[in-house]
Amino acid sequence: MAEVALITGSSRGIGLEIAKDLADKGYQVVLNSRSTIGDDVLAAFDGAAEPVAQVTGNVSDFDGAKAIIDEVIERFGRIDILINNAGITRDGLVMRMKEEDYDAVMDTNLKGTFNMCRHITKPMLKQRAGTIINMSSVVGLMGNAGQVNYAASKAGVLGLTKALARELGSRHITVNAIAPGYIETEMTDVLSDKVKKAMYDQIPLKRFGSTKEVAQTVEFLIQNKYVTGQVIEVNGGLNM
Amino acid sequence: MKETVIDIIADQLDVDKADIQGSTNFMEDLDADSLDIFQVLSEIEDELDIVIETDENVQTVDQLVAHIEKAQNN
Repeated sequence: MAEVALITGSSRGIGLEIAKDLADKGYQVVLNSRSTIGDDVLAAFDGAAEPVAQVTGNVSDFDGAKAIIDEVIERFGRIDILINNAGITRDGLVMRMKEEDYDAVMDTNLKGTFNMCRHITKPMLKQRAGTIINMSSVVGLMGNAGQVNYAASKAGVLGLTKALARELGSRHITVNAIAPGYIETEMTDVLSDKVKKAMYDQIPLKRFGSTKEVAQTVEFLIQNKYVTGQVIEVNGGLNM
Repeated sequence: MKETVIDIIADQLDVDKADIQGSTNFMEDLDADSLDIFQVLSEIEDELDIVIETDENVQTVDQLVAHIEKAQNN
């Protein structure tokens, strides 16, 4: 039976690319988004060996996160790989940032990751195997003006990842984080050429990364069972 | 109920039922770690449909049974 991979926030961007990549490799992919993922997105999985599944639900809600995991276990009997990718931004300079913008980002990015890890622990301990990959960001390592909430949430994910890796290591469950730099997505498509050029100047490889390059890192972390508690940076050298 | 608990412990920790008494200490006698105890508690919660408060340390089978009785009475 194909290994079951649940990817949160996988209706677009990096999450969707990871999902497509794993589906191509023969994994049973389960997509997740807060609202139902449309047929236009699902069409990308037409050729997959295992028909793609989706479970709607909000990871920032403690019971909602449990419901997502329970539904996947109900349908497939196990979860081998959990990728906590769901994330949002509410950018603004700190003196103008509203409390709700801080809370919303922390709730989805950090608490959402906690909620999913909290509820996956039981089934993964039973399996005595599993791979958890948490999406952090270069911003969690370097900081970024206008993103104190996002940076705090993504730095928090790193601490969570390392603590959890220590807790679950004895049961052959690996927990790692990926910290992407600037990746070509709908979010970067809207940037002006001037802004893009200014960003390229900061990146030793002089370009944005691709979602495919993040997906390759996911594959590596799934396959390698002796890497745990690590942060894999995929950023073109932006942070060293 | 105690019989069910002993069955679950034997199954989860892969030990002989005959080695499990009321005074048996999970860590010292059964070589269990904290994750093992967590798994035993989880299984019991599912099996008996209860929620066990685990603020207090559960060291022996008798202590565990007492926690379960408390949970069942709530």
